[in-house]
Amino acid sequence: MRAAWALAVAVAAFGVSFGVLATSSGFGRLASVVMSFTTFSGASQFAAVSILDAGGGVVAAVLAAVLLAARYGPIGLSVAPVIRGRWPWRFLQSQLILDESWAVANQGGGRFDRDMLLGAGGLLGLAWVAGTAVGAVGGDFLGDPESLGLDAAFPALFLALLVPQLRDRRAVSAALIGAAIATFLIPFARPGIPIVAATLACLAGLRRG
Amino acid sequence: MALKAAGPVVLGGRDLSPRMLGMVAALAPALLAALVVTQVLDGGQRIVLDERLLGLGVAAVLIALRVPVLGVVAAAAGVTALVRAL
Repeated sequence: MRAAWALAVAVAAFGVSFGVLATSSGFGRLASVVMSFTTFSGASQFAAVSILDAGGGVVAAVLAAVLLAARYGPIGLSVAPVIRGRWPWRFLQSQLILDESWAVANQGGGRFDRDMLLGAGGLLGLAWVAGTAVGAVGGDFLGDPESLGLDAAFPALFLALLVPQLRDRRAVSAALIGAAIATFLIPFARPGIPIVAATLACLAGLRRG
Repeated sequence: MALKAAGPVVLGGRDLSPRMLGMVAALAPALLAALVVTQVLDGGQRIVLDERLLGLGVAAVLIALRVPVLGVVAAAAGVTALVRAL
């Protein structure tokens, strides 16, 4: 759970930067905060708002956001066994699934810690929405999160969570294949596609193997 | 929202077959590795090598030295910020 608190600080800082970006590209203050609450997917929100800001149409913005969120298909499948209860309750719980909460709840070998998943998800959600509100209102006199190196914090975290999982050859080869596919696709595909393709290719390869 | 909910709503609470479990087990490292490379290299549909890579390098060394996750993340951000400030 300590990892989750550290993440919450980073997520809040990114929420602030999202609030600043959204209001500066013409979103209302309230609209920015509502978007953080309902969409609750930082990458999708950043992509959609930057496209709108750059003059791209609404269709392109929504498409990019949905593509980025497509990774939650396989992610949702992987945690399905620990999300219990009637379906409306499962639907609500599943909204707390994030890259970060999923990663800290991952115990390796395909098992997940349910309390960690939902606890970290809730904590990060609060941090994200509160951060957006601060950025949307406080705006200009806050520093740029990139100057604090926060954009390097997330890959470092994912790497720290990846390494302990590389216990057998299959995990190592899955990681290498995933990294290779994602790297190869970055220049060619829309944002989000490299991540989805990397995971799906692994699934396909395993089914055959 | 619907994408997040699809897996849990359809399958919720049921245990996966051993074969599915194996696939999910391999999915985690693949997805984590893909997240690492896209977050370090992606500069808007271009591969960019910048200060983030240095931060990640420091993180890798600290992970090898078994430094706790919190320290690894803080050091990666700190190094990246420091190099940018130079």
